[in-house]
Amino acid sequence: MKHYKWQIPITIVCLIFGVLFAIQLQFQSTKPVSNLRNQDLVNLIKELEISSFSLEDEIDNLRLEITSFQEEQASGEIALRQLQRDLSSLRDLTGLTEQKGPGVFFTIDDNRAGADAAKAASLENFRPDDYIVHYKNVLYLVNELRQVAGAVSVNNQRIVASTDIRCVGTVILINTTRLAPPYEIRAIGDSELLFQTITGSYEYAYLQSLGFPIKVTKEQELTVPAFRGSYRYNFAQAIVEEGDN
Amino acid sequence: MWLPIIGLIVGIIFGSIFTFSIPVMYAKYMGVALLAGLDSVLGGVRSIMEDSFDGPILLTGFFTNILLAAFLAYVGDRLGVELYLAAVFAFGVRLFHNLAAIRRIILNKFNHHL
Repeated sequence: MKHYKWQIPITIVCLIFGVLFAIQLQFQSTKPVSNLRNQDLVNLIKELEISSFSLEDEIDNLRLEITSFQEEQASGEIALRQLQRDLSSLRDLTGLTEQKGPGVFFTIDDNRAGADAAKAASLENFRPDDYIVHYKNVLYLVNELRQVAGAVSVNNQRIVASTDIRCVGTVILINTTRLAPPYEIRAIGDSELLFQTITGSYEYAYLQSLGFPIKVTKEQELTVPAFRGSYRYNFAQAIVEEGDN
Repeated sequence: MWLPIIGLIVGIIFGSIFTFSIPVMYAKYMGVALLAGLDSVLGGVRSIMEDSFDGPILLTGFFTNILLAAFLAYVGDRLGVELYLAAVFAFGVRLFHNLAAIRRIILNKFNHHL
């Protein structure tokens, strides 16, 4: 039995090989990319490590920068204080802050008494326009005050550089707010000077001569509100000189 | 003649029926061992055809090759050297060598019969 002799060992070997082969095949088919994925993960970790190294470098650099800034701060604080002073005075000048101080307070109302009297006298000749306060009356009075006052308001509307006093039908528009009589005008400044400016103005004399109820008082303490609108210049740009910084 | 082939088929069926779960980290060693086993099987077939078959040599060769290949791959991984590539290369070359020899023998027999 020459054939019998070799058949047993090779059969055993084939059997074991078959088992191993099947196991490996089974395993590889369930997890075919496990090794690949492992390698991917390893690469990912390496990349992340590299990026974290560079981020650490960046942190170091930023810390150095912070230190140098902190050293500069001592000298910077002086400059900052100066800038803040400038800023607050600019805010005061542009009417963004509430102001307090001595000044004059005066009210002006429509001439109702005159209107009633004129209506009673002759209805045909009665012109209601002659007895109401017009926007230009307020505008002229405010203009008189602005040249000497630090801060002016009309019915709690602060008068600033962009303020507009306009006529809109039966009321007056100031700072996009509609106001109706009586108009209360507050002006902060030298109260004596303001008083004389007002009472000596042409507009004051004119209104008084027409019989409008107008009352001016000197005040020790007045409060003028802040401007609540917005300054918006979309097109105008400041010209910055080279080297002006 | 048919006994080894039947053995192979039975082995594959056996391995397919029983689900052995190999840890992921050992899968690579298993693959190398499989390659060594395949080399041994082909070496056995070749020796039968050359009439120089020796049962103990085949059996010991089969097991030592399998274990040694897996062990070498493992040691290589421990040392950080990809030694399993050496095993793959060595057994791969021998595998093709054996296949070529088997092919030549079959062709020779065929020619003699003609």
